[in-house]
Amino acid sequence: MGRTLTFKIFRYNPTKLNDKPHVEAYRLEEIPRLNVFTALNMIREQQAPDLMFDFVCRAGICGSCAMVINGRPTLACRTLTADLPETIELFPLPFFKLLGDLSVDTGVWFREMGERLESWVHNHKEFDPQAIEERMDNETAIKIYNSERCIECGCCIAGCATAQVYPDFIGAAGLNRIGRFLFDPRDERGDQEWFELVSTDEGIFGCIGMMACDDVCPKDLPLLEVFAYIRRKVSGIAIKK
Amino acid sequence: MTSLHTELYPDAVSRHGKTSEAHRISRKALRDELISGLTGAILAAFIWFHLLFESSILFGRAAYDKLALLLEHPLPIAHVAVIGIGIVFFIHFIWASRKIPGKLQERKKMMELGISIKKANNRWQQDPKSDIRLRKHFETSLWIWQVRTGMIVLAAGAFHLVLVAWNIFTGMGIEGQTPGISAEIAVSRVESGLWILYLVLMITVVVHMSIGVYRLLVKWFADTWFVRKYARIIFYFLLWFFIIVGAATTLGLAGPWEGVLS
Amino acid sequence: MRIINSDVLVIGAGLAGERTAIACAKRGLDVTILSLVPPRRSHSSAAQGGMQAALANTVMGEGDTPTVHWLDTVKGSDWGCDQEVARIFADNAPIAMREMAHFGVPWNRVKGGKQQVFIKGKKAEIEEDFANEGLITSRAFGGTAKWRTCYTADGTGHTVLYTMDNMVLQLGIPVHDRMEALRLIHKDNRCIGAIVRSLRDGEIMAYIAKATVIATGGYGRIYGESTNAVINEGTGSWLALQTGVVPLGNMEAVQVHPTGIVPTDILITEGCRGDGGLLLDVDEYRFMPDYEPEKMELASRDVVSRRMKEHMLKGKGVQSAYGEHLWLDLRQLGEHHLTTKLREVYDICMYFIGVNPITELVPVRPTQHYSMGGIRVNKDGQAYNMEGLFALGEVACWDMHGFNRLGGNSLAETVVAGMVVGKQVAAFANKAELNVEVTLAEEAADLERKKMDRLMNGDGQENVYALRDEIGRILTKYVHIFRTGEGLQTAVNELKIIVDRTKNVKVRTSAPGMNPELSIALRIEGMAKQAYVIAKGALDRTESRGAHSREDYPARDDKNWLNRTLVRWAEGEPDPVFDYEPVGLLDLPPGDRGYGGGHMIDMDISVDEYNKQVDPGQTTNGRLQPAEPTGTKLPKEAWRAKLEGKE
Ligand SMILES: Cc1cc2nc3c(=O)[nH]c(=O)nc-3n(C[C@H](O)[C@H](O)[C@H](O)COP(=O)(O)OP(=O)(O)OC[C@H]3O[C@@H](n4cnc5c(N)ncnc54)[C@H](O)[C@@H]3O)c2cc1C
Ligand code: HEM
Ligand code: HEM
Ligand code: SF4
Ligand code: F3S
Ligand code: FES
Repeated sequence: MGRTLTFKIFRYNPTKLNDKPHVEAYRLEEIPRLNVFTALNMIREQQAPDLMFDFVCRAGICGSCAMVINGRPTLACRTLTADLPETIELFPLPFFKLLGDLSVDTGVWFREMGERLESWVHNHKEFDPQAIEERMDNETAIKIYNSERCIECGCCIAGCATAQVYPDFIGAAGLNRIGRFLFDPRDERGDQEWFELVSTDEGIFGCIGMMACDDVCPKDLPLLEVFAYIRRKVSGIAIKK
Repeated sequence: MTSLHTELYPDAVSRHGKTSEAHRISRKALRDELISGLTGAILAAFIWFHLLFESSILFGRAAYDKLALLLEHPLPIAHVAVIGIGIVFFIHFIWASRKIPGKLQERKKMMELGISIKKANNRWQQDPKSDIRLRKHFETSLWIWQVRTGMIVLAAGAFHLVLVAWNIFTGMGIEGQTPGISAEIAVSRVESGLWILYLVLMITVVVHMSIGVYRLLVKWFADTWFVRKYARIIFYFLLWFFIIVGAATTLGLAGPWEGVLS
Repeated sequence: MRIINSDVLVIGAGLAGERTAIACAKRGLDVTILSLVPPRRSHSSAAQGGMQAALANTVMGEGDTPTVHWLDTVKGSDWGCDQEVARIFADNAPIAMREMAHFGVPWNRVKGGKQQVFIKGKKAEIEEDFANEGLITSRAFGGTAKWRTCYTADGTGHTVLYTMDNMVLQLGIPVHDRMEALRLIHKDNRCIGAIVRSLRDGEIMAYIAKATVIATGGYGRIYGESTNAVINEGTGSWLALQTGVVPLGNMEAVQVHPTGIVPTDILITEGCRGDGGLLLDVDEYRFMPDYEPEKMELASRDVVSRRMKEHMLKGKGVQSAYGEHLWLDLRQLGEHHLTTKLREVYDICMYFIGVNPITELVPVRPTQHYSMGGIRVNKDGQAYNMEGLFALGEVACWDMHGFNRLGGNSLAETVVAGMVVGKQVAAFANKAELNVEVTLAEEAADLERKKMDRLMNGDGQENVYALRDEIGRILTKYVHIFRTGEGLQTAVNELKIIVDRTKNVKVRTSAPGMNPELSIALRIEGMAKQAYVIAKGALDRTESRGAHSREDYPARDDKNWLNRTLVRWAEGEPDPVFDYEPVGLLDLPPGDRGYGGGHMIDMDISVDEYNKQVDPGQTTNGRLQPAEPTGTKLPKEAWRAKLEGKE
């Protein structure tokens, strides 16, 4: 303990005239159990009142605070400075639209992704308030939940080299979302619809297996497993025809 | 709840079945993926046999020639193979390179990211006590190496293929030489300086093949019992096993280790 | 100034806001949702434990009905709730859960056959009926007679919010995120929208609508130390308080959750105790059975928090660099349970404090968690005194929680209220006329612009962060689990000064765009004033009820205090105005909760006499007439039938 940390933070405010992207350094005395959330707030309150960043839950469950910390996209709120060397570099997530400093617009990207994939249960049945719920076995429920746990933080997109190069690629989070609905028996989308949706170069075949998504996903989602399932499912559909 | 079915992106999902544009695009994408993957797998399997075959030189020229004969009589396996592999090699090159970013700018982006993530591992101290350790990541750089080695394999492999095809079908213009592979010709070729080329080809092709197999396994089977961890073990196994066998073979073909095992 | 029109403006994209928007959109209305953050980041996503609904699918929920749920809720509220609203809630909760299943929530399901579980801290075996296999299952929660809390592992809020937002996507409802409502546009007790500031570039805009709905969640961050998200700064309730005519109800009813982790105050869900987690003291001794032999760790939250504090005051707390705490013991649940059903909890312990709950004890202490109080509305969700304004969710005082909310009831409330209130919002918007007076919007916007100008260019001296910290410190010190007249008086005095000081805040940076310091400076007045009314309300209420626990008045006083605090604070006025109204029609007469101990001062009038005062008492305080007369949804003496086993 007793270290003095140096935070090298990317600064750029697009609404400010003539502002240029640059890196500024801030110093901070380390306290026990300091995490990057607390550190950034301290910096903002004491040194740089115009510093922009996003936190909501500060508990690693809302996905707001992803940024590139010492070269690795991850959640700032649950990164302890004790795990890092004295110099800590903070950059905004690449790929997403920069709103200012460390704040990027992941929200809009994920919204568009959701619309593009029609991320909802396609079900033509009317809801009957009187009837008991449709049954589902617990294993299926858990399987869906395992994909549903994605918090839309964007780390997987920021870490995937393919996504950087092909902006139309729906990315690991998008593929995982497809998996979530593929597993769901309530979704009435048929083989053909799935096939046309995912069997594309923007879909599953945009992924060339870099595995960075799986490595950086803060929720440890079984991304590669979902992709493998989708790959075989898609081929299965094609063969059946 | 009657009109819940909005179709915001009618192009993304079209419900016209087989003949639709979307369906056509999807089929093509799947076919492309299967072609590059399958040709890669075929080439990988070929290389395994090929390198093992070449390693017979370590048992001496007789063993090597016996095997070579087996491949040419009674069936002209080598003749068919050299044409077949040539075609597969070419197809693989065409289809696999569709994933290589064409623009220099894009390629730079990928490299930067790969390097950045790789470096990141060094800049995160790891607390060995903590259960949640940061996992290492190096697959992005692996992919970049696959592209790089692919390029070298393309050049060196094509040259080699032409050479051996010429050898199999003709006497290569050498007086008294019968068409076909033989230890004598092979060794003389390698000894005369081509060993540099073979060493490079061997290393690059093994690296490329091991990474390729690793990623193929993960891409298609990661959700079965065959998880990434095992794929990674196979990757390291293939890499080191064939590098060692290959290096020994090069030494064998180049002279010093010829027949050491006999 | 840009003006954006729609039929319905929903401020807040948490569960409550989105469910209302869906209800309106399905009825053909043009809806716009505003949110501080992308909708899926709303705080609803952080709820882990689950949602209560009397589905009675698991054996441990056998015999459960909405009436039992209602009884638990009323008792939990310490009779401070509106029993009719609690009734509407309990009756609709099962429908809401099934509807969410229909929308796509992957609820955990019943598995037939023998299961290993924990009951009252001990390993036990139950046998689930195969006939119920595949139906929505439930777990135990505090203060409930049955296992009634539906869940998806420990990501309930997350999955329900994601599913809800999927519906919003499907219906094509626009969500304008990174937008902050600063002020309501209203005239002559009619609300026509809000002045909004963009948190992307700082632009000021007006959103005009026939009906405006506030669903902005809790105000926990006023306390500083809180389990709430950092965006829960009470901006929504402030919108209402600012009008000067819309009252806030029961602001002193603030829930403290037994298990926030030390030091980061992140919540460890009640589901942990429901699934068999135990509370231990410094000697690793399980103390709860000594205090609450019946419910043990699973008494209602106010009671458990109080008992923990009591125990710590006896010197049994664990001393640490971050102050005193107790232990939560999850070790007996085992690795499998902790890494599947309580996985988020596992992650939180590992990442934030480096404690492995499989082998180690988790340090916990009671932490501010939930605000029962908020914008006072009638049973249709209409704000008092203001036509065209609705509120629901945690920000509202619909009042099914009274002075203490049961775990799992608030998430369920958001969805049920969304259905019930959403219908009324739609009905209102469908028949409402709107004469848009642009000048009105301009006037309201000017007030905000002036305020911004003062904050940026005025000659104030105050640092906004220092004030914020000060407010949090005072509330946490004096207006927490145990309250005393003396402490509350100190809090009131100090907060009064802080309210004045907020006028002299000066923003240090003039950076264009969202300017984070300006954003918080715009909120600080609302935070200070709400802190003040919380403390003042608590000081004036000389009894103990639910979460409001006075050491100098330990009894629950149904004679004098079976009522609801209402507070209004007109802009420019130095002091707020307090009023009291009857809690609502009583069906279950006040009685013992069955846990928590303490004694009561009985009512001196009969239940019938009390009930006669309700309608006039509430109407004089500005309650608008609901679509159906008060009391229509409260089956008479249903509790009696239940207790006598006739239901
Ligand atoms: C850690 C934690 C765990 C919990 N667990 C449970 C549980 O297990 N079971 C349970 O029943 N309850 C639980 N609760 C309580 C429950 O989660 C909340 O009461 C509920 O989610 C509130 O939902 P809401 O829709 O009212 O508000 P929120 O989900 O908080 O949404 C508020 C919305 O309003 C927006 N907003 C706020 N202010 C403005 C403004 N000025 N302008 C525009 N938009 C604005 C925000 O952006 C957000 O979208 C828990 C609470 C916490 C803190
Ligand atoms: C069917 C087609 C092929 C035939 C018949 C063939 C034949 C041979 C022969 C005879 C040799 C010994 C050296 C020599 O005689 O020049 C050799 C070596 C080698 N070949 Fe091939 N080859 C074929 C295809 C390939 C391909 C496609 C590759 C990879 C791109 C390849 C990679 C190598 C390597 C790396 C060596 C050197 C082995 C070592 O030094 O360890 N070959 N091949
Ligand atoms: C002509 C020279 C070659 C080039 C330019 C080349 C290039 C590539 C590229 C770019 C990929 C990645 C494609 C993707 O991920 O979709 C790839 C994959 C692969 N290559 Fe090659 N390659 C060549 C030769 C070979 C040879 C000789 C082998 C056999 C040893 C081989 C085996 C593989 C395998 C197994 C894959 C994995 C397929 C996949 O991931 O889908 N390649 N190659
Ligand atoms: S898949 Fe993982 S990394 Fe990607 S957005 Fe979801 S939680 Fe984040
Ligand atoms: S990093 Fe990218 S290429 Fe595929 S495996 Fe992950 S999406
Ligand atoms: S702030 Fe919610 S994940 Fe970090």
